[in-house]
Amino acid sequence: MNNEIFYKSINELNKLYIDKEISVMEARDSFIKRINKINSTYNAYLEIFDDESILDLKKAENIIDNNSSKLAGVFIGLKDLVDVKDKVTSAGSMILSKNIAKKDSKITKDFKKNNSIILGKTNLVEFAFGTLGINSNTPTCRNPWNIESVPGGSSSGSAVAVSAGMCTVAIGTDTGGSIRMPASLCGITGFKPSYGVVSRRGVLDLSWSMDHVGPMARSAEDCLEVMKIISGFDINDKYSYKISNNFFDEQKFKRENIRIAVPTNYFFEDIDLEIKNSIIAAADKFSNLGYQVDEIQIPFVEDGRKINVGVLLPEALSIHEKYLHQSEKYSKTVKNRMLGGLGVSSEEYLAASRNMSKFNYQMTNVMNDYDILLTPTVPVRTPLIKNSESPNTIEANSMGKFTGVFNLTGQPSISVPAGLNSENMPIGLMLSGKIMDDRKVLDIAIDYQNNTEFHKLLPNI
Amino acid sequence: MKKDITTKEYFKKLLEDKNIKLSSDEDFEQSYLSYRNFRESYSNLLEEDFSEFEPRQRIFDVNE
Repeated sequence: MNNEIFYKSINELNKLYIDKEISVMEARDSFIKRINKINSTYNAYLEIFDDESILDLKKAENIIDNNSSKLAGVFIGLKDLVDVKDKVTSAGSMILSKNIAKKDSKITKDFKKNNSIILGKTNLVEFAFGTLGINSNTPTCRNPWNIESVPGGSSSGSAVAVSAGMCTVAIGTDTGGSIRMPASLCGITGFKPSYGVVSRRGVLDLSWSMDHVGPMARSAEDCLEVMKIISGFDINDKYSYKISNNFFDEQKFKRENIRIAVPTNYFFEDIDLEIKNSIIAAADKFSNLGYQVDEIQIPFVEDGRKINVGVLLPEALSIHEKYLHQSEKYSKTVKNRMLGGLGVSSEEYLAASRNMSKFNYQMTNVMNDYDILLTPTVPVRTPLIKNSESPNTIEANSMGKFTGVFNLTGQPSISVPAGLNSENMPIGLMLSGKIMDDRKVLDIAIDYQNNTEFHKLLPNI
Repeated sequence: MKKDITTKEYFKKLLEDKNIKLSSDEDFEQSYLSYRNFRESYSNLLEEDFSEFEPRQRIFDVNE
């Protein structure tokens, strides 16, 4: 039993608790033992809350029944940008290595209120500013499918913790793809909600126009369960959107009424052939299941990446203004990339921001005719760690080419496993919906996973 | 070539203005490469016609 607990879904874990087949204490002990055994290989966690989680689990143990939250007793890893009261939020940096949080973040409160067990803080790219998952300030985070390969970033530790069975669910942040890219590379599911649906209060900013917080898990079904408890309006987050109470309620849909667009330009140009073939096979799968699948062209989409970076970099620099004189404390890769944004004028920033609006208007017109855009998550193969030190490698510069589009638009977007390549490394499929249509995106991803086995594939730990 | 040197000098001045010291030539060159790529993106962005759009809007009713 204990060996199987690490990859149980939220619903399976909940059932085991209700049926008294395992106690929260036993499950927690198994997770802590596993983390202590393998974390030195994968470096998914920067800090493990082995004492504190005992308090949480005693509460969880007492309340679990058919009426309790499904998240009770579920094991959570939090990216180390997320505040937990009295714990360090380091952002994977030397600069914030002694930054003790005075309060819980909104989502930390949500997990505690639901008696989830927060196991610790997960590794990340310094200040969440990078695509490959490399951070010279922290122990090297390694991809469970091949420990010589990068895990993807910036939510590297969160993806690795889920992939290696070191938590049930992890929280990531996504400013240009930082949930979906590592999810793709590590063979798990990562969901970036619509902009403003999850409060960012108590989560360190990278770029306030693009930052999103979301779940990373084994399946879209688990992501949905997490979204039900972490979403909602937060008056203390000025970027929070008011959503209805039934935002995540089940919406019955007929496959034949769902229109899926496969944009053949940009998303299928200059990409790895095995990735391309897997995504085309996924599109065929949807078609065979009865969905309407059309190939389309989105000519303006190629401007998305530069607009994304054009807004992101000056915002990141503004946030880091107070730290930059300590440039020797930054890792080289992050510093080199961030300094690229020096000297942006207000006119240039506003031009990027107005281009963002124009891009979103154009995308809204496309999405008027479609429910889902089906694309690869990343264009390139997973690079080796030893080839990923420079900030300007082809992989580092192109990894976020597809994901960043949906940070710009704020559309809900999920990466789900879509197979393995000839090197036995995972391939990710990205499904992106209309803004504020989060439940539909998750339901369609769940339907795909109910009809495929890719999300059940596990690395050899 | 002259323009390239001018851009590099300007980048050096930006670093000095912010009191940012880079530890090596390689560190400088990598930062400069990012800067140069980014300036190219901006020059493209400024060529776009965005006059009808407010900054940072995400939700539109295109059926209006």
